[in-house]
Amino acid sequence: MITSKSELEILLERIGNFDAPKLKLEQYRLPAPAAAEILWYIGLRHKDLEGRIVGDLGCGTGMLTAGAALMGADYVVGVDIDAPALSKARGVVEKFRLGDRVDLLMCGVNDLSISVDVIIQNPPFGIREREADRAFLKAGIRAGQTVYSLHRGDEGVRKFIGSYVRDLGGKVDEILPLNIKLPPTYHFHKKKFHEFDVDLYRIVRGTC
Amino acid sequence: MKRRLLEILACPMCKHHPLELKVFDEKQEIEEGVLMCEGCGRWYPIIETIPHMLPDDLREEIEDKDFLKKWKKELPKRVLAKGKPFNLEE
Repeated sequence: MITSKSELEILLERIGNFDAPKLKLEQYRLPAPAAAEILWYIGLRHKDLEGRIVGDLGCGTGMLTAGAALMGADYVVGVDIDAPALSKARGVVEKFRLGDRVDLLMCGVNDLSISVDVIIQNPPFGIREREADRAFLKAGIRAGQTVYSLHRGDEGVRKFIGSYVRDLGGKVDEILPLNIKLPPTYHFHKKKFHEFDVDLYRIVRGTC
Repeated sequence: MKRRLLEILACPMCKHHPLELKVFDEKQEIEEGVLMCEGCGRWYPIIETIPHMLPDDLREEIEDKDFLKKWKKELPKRVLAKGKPFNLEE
């Protein structure tokens, strides 16, 4: 069992990046410090990981999937549409010996039909594929009683998500602002670090 | 794939639950197998432990038929003859 956030961060640092990140899917490796911050918040502040059934939509190489299992989730299902990402995630699950509590699933969010306690997701921001973020919110709220979803940190985005989630029968319960420092992932990332603000939304279904 | 996935997973196309599982190869977990939907007659392959739950328009006919041929002896006749979206007879 993990006893500190820094211990979790050190473990997550061992998770590799995408071999060839796809811009269309807005693939990027969530940096380990941010992932640890998010998982610590979900697991300790809200007690939404230990013993729970968790789904990770758009799991990529398995950062949050493995992290949720390391934090004591009873069962985690990582879902992604991208075969190379899933095969990387499978390697991560094996490396951490989490195979008995983690399943991976190839499926797109629009078609996904699962039912879990908690969803964690780092969806595309919808910059490359318009409204990709909406599809994830819709799928997340359909699949989980409680949803943790990461979005661009922006006043307009907050307003939009608040009302969009309400229309889907959920409620934004809390927002955790975070800053992400990304090593260059795409050719247009010219700086040593690509830094941006994000918000982690805690969304609860059916409370309005 | 572990069997407990069946408890929480429904057919991506018709939303029927539960799906029926047939295992072809199992080590620590299910390596190869098929998930079948009683509701709409679709089947979904499990390849290298990962269920591929794709809608019809994202499936590859050639790969799907190769999978059916590979496990022909293990697959139920109804999948081979009438399975959706692809089968070996229609």
